Amino acid sequence: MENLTLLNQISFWLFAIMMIGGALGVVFHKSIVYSALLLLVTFLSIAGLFVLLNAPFIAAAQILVYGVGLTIVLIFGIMLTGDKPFVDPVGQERPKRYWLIPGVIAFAFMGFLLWSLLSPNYNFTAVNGLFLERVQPSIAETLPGVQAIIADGGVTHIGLLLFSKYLLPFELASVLLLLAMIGAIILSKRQFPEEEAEGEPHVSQDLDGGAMEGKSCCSLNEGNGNLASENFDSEKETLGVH
Amino acid sequence: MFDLSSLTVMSQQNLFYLLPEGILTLGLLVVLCLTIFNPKKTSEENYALMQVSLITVLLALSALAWTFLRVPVITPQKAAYSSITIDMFGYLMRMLILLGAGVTIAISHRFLEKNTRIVSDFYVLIMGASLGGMLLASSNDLIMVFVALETLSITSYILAGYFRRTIKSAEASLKYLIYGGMGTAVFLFGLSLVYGLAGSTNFQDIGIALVHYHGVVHPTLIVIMLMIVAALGFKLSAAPFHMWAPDVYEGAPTPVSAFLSVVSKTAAFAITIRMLLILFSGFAEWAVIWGILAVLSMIIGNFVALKQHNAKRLLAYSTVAHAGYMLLGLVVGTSVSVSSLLFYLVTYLFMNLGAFAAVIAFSTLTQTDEITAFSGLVQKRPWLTFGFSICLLSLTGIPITAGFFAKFFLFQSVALAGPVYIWLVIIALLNSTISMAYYLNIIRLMVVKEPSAEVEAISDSAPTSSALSTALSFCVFATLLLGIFASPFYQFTTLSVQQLAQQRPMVISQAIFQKK
Amino acid sequence: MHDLIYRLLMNLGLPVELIFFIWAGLMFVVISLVGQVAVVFMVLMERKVLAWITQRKGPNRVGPWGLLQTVADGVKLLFKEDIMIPGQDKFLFTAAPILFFAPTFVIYALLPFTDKLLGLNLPIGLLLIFALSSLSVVGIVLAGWGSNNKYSLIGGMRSAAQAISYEIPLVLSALGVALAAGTLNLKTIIESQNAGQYGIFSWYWLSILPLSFVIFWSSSIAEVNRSPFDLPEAESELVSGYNTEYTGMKFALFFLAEYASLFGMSVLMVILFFGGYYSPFGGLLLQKWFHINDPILLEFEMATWLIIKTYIFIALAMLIRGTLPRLKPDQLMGFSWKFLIPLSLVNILSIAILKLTWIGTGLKTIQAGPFTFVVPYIVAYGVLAIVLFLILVIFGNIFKRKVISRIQLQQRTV
Repeated sequence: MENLTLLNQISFWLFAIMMIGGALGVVFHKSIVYSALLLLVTFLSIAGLFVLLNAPFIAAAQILVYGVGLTIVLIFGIMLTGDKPFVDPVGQERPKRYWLIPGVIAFAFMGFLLWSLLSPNYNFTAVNGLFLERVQPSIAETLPGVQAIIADGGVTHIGLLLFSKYLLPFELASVLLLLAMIGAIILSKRQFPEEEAEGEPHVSQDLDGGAMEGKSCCSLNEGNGNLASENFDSEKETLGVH
Repeated sequence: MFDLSSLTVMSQQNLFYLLPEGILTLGLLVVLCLTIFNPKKTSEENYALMQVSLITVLLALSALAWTFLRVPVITPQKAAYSSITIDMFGYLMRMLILLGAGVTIAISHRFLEKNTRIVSDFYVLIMGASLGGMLLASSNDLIMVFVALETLSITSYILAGYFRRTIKSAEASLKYLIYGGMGTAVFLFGLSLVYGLAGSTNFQDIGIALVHYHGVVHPTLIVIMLMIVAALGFKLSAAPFHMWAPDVYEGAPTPVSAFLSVVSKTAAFAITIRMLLILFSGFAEWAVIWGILAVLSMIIGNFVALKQHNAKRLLAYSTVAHAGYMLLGLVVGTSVSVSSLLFYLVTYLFMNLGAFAAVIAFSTLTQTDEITAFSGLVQKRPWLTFGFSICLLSLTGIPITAGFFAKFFLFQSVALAGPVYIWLVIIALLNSTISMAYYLNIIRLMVVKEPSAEVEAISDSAPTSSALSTALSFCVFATLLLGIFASPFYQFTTLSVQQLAQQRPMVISQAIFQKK
Repeated sequence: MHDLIYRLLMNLGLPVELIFFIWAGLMFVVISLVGQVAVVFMVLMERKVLAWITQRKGPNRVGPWGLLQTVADGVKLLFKEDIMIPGQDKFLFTAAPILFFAPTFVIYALLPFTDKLLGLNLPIGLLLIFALSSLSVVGIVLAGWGSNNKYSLIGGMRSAAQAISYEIPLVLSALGVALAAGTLNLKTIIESQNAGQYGIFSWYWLSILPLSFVIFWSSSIAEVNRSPFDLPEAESELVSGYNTEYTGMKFALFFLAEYASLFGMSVLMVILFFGGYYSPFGGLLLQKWFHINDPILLEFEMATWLIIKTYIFIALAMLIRGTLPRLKPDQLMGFSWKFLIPLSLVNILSIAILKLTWIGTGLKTIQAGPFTFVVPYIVAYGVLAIVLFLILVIFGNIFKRKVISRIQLQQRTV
């Protein structure tokens, strides 16, 4: 490969600026759809940085998982919940300088972090990794082991790591995803077969089923002890939210 | 035809030690499949599912005991490519988590039957959370820590919102999710900085790498400490990161509150102690931060608990206060104080679960958990009153109960550690005295006062769940037993702290130097 | 030819970075031109095929046999007024077609049309193609949102749901190919299908992965929003869905990108399952039968084979559009989540078993051939059949019970 350091540098600054700009936009933009879009920009820029770090596999995974999956789900959620597209989600009550104190704290923390990272006795001491004491990244790329990893985009290396060193976290992550899926179904499903057994008519699955749903769960009268009268869905109905 | 080397790898990686986790996962899947393939369940079938879950947990417990006895852990062992440490400390914590899960499953059955129709998924989630907690308690790798912590947390969020049509439960879930998500983000940021500083995710490697910084406190380490303390303090519900606890404990189904206050906290303490003693053993700065947290937790927990009307909220603040007491053991950080802390955790498990079991029993009978409603319970349900009173006395720290010895050992170890710590002990003792007011108030109401309207309404024929009463009796019995025979348990905790101390990077780095 | 251009650029004495840019740009122009021309003729082809199915004549006025019809349409769209109705989000409305269009064409840079006509030969080409192709969904969703039109919004939401659902079986079935070939590099995948020179017998769809191919084909049709999975742009229900409000060049971008993504997906399918640019008789015919080794001629042959195979699939997609009715949304989601995803998981299991048996015999990757695969084939698909049978037994039981309970409920309510 040709030595493309200048190109790398230009790309790095481009991606970095896009990433930080996008992240700031996510926080400061009034419209939540634009926030989601800017989040996509941030994710894609991070993917670009991964490419510059010789990790194209991670970059592609970043686009696939975060860039697409997460953003689409986010926008999907916005579309399902937000009636009015361009409304400040928090409302008008909050004071104008609501961002001041958290902002100051965040920037103070960031400053401290930057200062600490740049302080002189910071030392890249890796113990049993590929990098020994104070190895510069540009030198590291020329090491034979690293070159083999770069050559196939890190796919083989990541696969081997996942199924050896990080086998147990990997397997636990699958259990975690299963549990999260069960949880999502429990929290969001309209009616369970168990609840159907009460003789309720089957609620149709169309988009406007909210009103029918409210009735059915009122009659089910499912509540927690003293809170039996307080019903989540009926509460939602009175608020006029579907 | 097949390559058998993968099987030898399994035996090399000591996966044998993870048999309890394997059994738990298998049981989880079995209960899940039984749930899916039999969608409309009668009450009997739900009871059978509860029994299956309970048997799974008991099997896992016996597998834990079996592995412990079969291959005694004389020195700490590494398992699964050293992402897991097997040591006495891990065994103790895993045992506590499994016991907590078992008791939670037993006390939840009748309560769930009464309040919701989706019963069996609850057990699946409880078992999943315990799985996460067990792996968290014995993890030896930052990635393992994070994944296990997430397994525990995400299942907890779901469990908190389990009564999905009750607005308080939904609120609890959402609050817990938002606070917890923030906590996780901060934790992950801290861990990534650790990785940046040390270049590895393995505890031992990080320990060795950080040994280089001994004497010179690198400013990044302070940032890391702050972040990790914030995240773990959230999990421990230590003030000022305790804001979620009262709302979540009140809104969540009561068995979930019990689970969160015991199992989640035990797992969090396990990883806190492990990280503190192995990862950051050379840094005294932790003591100051933990000291502030401990004092704040004790004071806020006890003083706010005085004003509570709801039994679950009261217990929530009481758990905050107890987290404060337990943090004292970390502040001092001597092996005696940490082993006292472990002993406190053991007793806390039983007495707090017992108290929650009593509240569940009461609220299943009367549909309320206001404190005033407990008046005159002794006239209707004397044994329930007895059990609840024992647990409350133990939480206060009255002699004969386990709570007394736990507090005694802990405060003694702190006081003996040095004159600087006397102030902490004085604050803790004052707080224990304050806590007496609200704990004993409930006992006074139950025993002395005339029955309230709710208690009057309890019919004598109202059924009591055998699982619930067994669990409550078990907790009360254990509380009393630990109060009378404290020393064998105390020896066990001392041994486990010794094994933790063996894993300190100082020891390992010396070993490396000897090799060279 | 490539070497010649490259050497010319080097001799000009430009900096390396600039040469890299010029080279990438040239490659991109060539490849996207291929795409554009392909799309222009695909539109005409589609109209002709549909006309043939419905016994009409199709376009036959502009140019001989209507060949210039699409060009004329393009010119017309260029000069049309760009209508913006009030209440639209101007930025999103404008950005959406671009966001939809761009990733679709970037994919072309990763597809090996011949062994040299290839923009970027990445070790992770397959994964990146999926990442990019799913990125275009963001454009559709934003078009639906920005249009301020309920039909567009529903179209956009349907599209998002569909894309998320069908992404999974698509990637999982392609994972089978990656497992078999042992790489994510598209060129290596093609080469490994041609390794034994057995021609069509060693192409993955026949030799190892027929199930993968079926899953991939179904979900790729859904991924490019074509009939029978064209719910996001159902003309009769949603007035053509997310692009209802679009006119002029913006509409043309959507239109182009849809056909371009169909073309891209078909090329990908040929690469993954049909031996890419190799002939169905193994190797290249010019080389094998006529002993011609001129690199440029060989490259032409490769491109020809690829284009022929691709257009067979495009024609099949058009036939499907002309014959099959559209699915309902719940059928669509159910087909993916309840049928395709379990099936693709079982498929991966079987391929993993296949791979294990191959590794047991001492080979690193699976080398497909007419006879060598028979034993592991039987093993893997035997397991697959057993698993499928078990699933059917278990799920069949559930369905039966569900139906019975539904009937009981109805009786009770009546």
